[in-house]
Amino acid sequence: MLIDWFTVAAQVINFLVLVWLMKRFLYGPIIHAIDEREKKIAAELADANAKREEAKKEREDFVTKNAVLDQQRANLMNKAKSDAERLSKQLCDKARQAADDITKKRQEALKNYARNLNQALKHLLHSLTASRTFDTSAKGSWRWFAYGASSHRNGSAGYLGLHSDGLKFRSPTDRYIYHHRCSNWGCCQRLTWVSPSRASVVKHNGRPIEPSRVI
Amino acid sequence: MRLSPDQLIFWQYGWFHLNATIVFTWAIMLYMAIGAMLITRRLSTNHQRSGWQNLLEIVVVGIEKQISDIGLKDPQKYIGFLRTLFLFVAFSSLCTVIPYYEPPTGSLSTTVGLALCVFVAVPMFGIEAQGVGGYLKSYIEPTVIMLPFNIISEVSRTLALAVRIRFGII
Repeated sequence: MLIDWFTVAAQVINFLVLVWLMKRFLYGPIIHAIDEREKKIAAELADANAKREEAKKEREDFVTKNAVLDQQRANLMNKAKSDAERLSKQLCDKARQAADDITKKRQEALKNYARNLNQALKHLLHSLTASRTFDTSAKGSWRWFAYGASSHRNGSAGYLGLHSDGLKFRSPTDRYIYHHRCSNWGCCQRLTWVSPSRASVVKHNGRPIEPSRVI
Repeated sequence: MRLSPDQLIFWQYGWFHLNATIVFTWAIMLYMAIGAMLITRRLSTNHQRSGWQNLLEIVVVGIEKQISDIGLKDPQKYIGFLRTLFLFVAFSSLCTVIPYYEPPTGSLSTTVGLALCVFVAVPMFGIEAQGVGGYLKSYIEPTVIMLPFNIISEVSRTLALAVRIRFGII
């Protein structure tokens, strides 16, 4: 008989001991390691999912904020443009107004200059024509100046000639020259104008001035 | 001519004797225990692990998957017994490359012992899973007529295991 029952019993015991040994030193640690690795992998996957969700949420927030910033920037740009246009218009209006003012002033200045020039030319012309009736060869020097209409009654302008030997008065309608020896030249405005019919009498400060020469 | 390692007796004291079957079985047990201690001394729970750890994990997970494939729920209860049976027979056969080695599974005594373990384990797991009534009820399924055939199949399975391991493997 090939079956040794003692050996059978011993082998059964050996096998049961081997089962315990394997459970203690092999299966337990291996299964524990596998379970730990599966837990780690599950935790890593959960963490990855959570981070993916978080990244997705942050991306959405970023997109929203970008859109808000773009809108704000567009609003600021539009406001800046409108402000710039308004300021430009104001500056242009001011510049135009200033240019108009300058133009008006220039035109007025030109008018005044033209008027003054015209008057000066009249006076010059009159003096040139008047000087021909005087005897400039007289001794002494002549100094001519115009007098105002306040001392003239008939409205026509006259010339008061100042000779070195006294005041001589001459009018374009008068044919007389009156020699005035008054040393007070400031009283020349008190010269009174006498018509040609009374050309023989010219009063100055209440005193008559005798005509020195008749032209 | 020696037909079985049982005939090679190293020591004997009365009916207590140590033959080659028992001694080589102890050697296999020692080899497997030391190997297991060495491999599981520094197990890695990261993605990087040693080749031996990888091999053991493949064996453990493979057997678990096969038990799940045949429909058994909660394979953890049967894993210890089945894996040990598988590893013992595998190592016994693989170590035949060692000179002067007598595989324990070459002895009918070893295979009968293993078959007896299975013979006891099957009803034990069945009762644990279904209860005594449920387990005994499975013998009369699908009909009561099948009762003797189920009992015969239990006994014949045991004998078949013993003979298949002894003559089929080594």
